[in-house]
This record gives sequence, C-alpha cells and structure tokens, in this order.
Amino acid sequence: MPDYSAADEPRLVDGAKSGDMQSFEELVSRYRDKVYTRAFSIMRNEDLAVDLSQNAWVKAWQRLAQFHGDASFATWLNRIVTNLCLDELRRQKRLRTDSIEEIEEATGPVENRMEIQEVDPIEKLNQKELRERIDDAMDKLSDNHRAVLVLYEYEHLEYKEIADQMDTSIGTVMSRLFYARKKLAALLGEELKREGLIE
Amino acid sequence: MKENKIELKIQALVDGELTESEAEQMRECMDNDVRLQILYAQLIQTKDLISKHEMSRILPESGDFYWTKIAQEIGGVEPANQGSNNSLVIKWLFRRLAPLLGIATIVLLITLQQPSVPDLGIEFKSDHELELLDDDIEVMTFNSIDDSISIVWLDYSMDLQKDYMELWLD
Repeated sequence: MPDYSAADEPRLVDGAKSGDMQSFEELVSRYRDKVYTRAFSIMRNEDLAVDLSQNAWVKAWQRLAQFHGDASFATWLNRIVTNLCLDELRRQKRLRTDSIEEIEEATGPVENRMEIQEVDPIEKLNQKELRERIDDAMDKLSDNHRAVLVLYEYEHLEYKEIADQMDTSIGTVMSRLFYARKKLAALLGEELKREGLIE
Repeated sequence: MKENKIELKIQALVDGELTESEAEQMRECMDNDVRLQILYAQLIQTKDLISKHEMSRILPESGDFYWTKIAQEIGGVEPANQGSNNSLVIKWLFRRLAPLLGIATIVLLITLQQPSVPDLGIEFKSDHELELLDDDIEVMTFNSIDDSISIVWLDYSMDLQKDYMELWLD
C-alpha cells in the first residue's frame, strides 16, 4: 500500500485524477483547514463554511481534469470555495433587503475620511492578538465589503477579476474596497481606544 | 477630479492598479496635498495589516467525519480525466450504442432459448378443426375470416412424443 501521507502533491493529484479516492482523501486532509478558513472568512458562519467547503471538495473532484497545475492546488481549491461562497451570498441577498451600509455606498460618495491611527499601538499587540482584532473587525463588515476585501487581500485577485466574480463593475469594487478598508480601520481604532492602547 | 474619485485613485495607486501615466498623475496630486499623502500612508498601513493577518481556522469537526460526507457525495462519481480522450469517445459511443446492443442481445437470447418443436407428424390443412384427447396438451385456435387465417397454439410439454397424441382431422 503506498504511503499517501508521504506522497508529494502532484502525485496525489495525478492519483485522484485517475480515480484513486485515497489520494484525494489525503489532499482533503492536507487542505481542509485552509479551505474552511477561506469559506469562513467570507461567510462568517461555521455551519455554512463547513458545508460550502465540503461542496468545494466535491466540485474539485468532479473538475479535477480542469486542474493543470498552473496555480497551486490550494489556490485552485480556494478559487472554487470562493465562488461557492459568492454564489451563496448572492442567494442570501435575494432573500433580504440591502443593509443601510450598502444603500449608503450605492447612493452617495464616501464622506468620511479614514481615521489616522498610529502604528505604535498596533505593534504593542502580539501577532495573535492583532489577528483576533482584525478578525473581529472583519466580522462587523457587510457581506459585500468583506467579500471584496477577502478576494483582494487574501485571494490576491485584481479589481477586474473581482468585478467579474461578483458580477459588478470595477468602480463598485473600488468603492467597496475603499469603504471596507476605511470601516475596518475605524473599527480597529475603536477597539484599540477601548483597550487604552490609543487615546 | 471629484474628491471621492481622487480617493479611489489613491487607493488604486496603493494597489498597483494604475497605469504608469495615471500613477504619475496621482503622485503629482499628492505632492501638493498633505491630506492625500496621509490617506496614502493610511491605506498602505491598512492594506498591510489585513493582508498579513488573516486568522487561520481549524475545521470544527473531526477530519474523518468531514471526509465521510465528501466521500458519500463523490462515491458514485468518477473524476473526468481530460487526458484520456479515447475513453471519452468510448463513453460517447457506448451511450449511443448501448440501447441497440441491449435490444440485439435480448433478441438473440430469446431466439436461442426457443424450444425446438418436436416433429409430431401433424399436418395442418385449411378448414380443419383441431381436437385433442390428451389432457396434457392445451390447444388454442384463432380464426379470422377476413384475413383468411387460422392460428393454432399448442401448449405441451417438451417430452411429449407423437405417440401420446391423437388427432382427428375433419
């Protein structure tokens, strides 16, 4: 029996392509947390993130032939789960009215300037604490703002690619990205003020 | 240029989304505007903060349970292997020829399984009525005057010999 845990990624991908479930299981084992993390980053809901990440693996299995190794397998998987999350957000959006934030974004200019934060207080936090603060702030963004931020900062997509994926214009992507950054900086600033790290 | 548009352009500059000439134009704008310089610095700082601090998460259920659900979904699905075009052609042909092959096979099997009718020494002539004495043999007849045909079904055991049958032909 081959040692799957020691096999390199291309070998596992080839094995999975030829129908070897154990190769695929090993790939799932290696990247399940990463795929789940991406789904959670966008959805901010544990159950949905689990379901969508599992759907992503099923889709990946069905589309393995389309993976040619141009990007890494993890990147390819993240694109699949990201698309599923955006589909889910679109589905949810159809079921509810837009948030006040989105109405404001669509009808008026960005009025508030970004608050200027000092770098030093942030450096007082260790990396783990900083991640938690940023994650909390991400949680408070609207779905569209968070999605655009995740696609740009974590998936490293360009404006045009994000616009295509979200079925919107580049101008809207730019506006959402700006607003999301502004809001996140403000939320982070509030948090730091509350903790007495800045005045 | 509208103020909002300038801010978005500054952001595009930070994100490296401007052409060289657009970038140069924005740098000139910033040179004369402290507020834009601060915005530029702030955007770089925020971008840096976010991109380097994504929270990693661990699946909130066991790996085995997670995999089991995936395996159930993909259990009956073969991954499409684009590399083997031959198999695609074969699948295509199979999908179209399978029904024909199935029908041909059934017809062949029925033909081979037809019992050979033993020679009972019976000669059927037109306008005759069939009678049998043996209870082991069932007879059904169909007559159609319009079509000028008569069809007779004999239902009998294969081991019956002609000695067991008696026919009276009118």
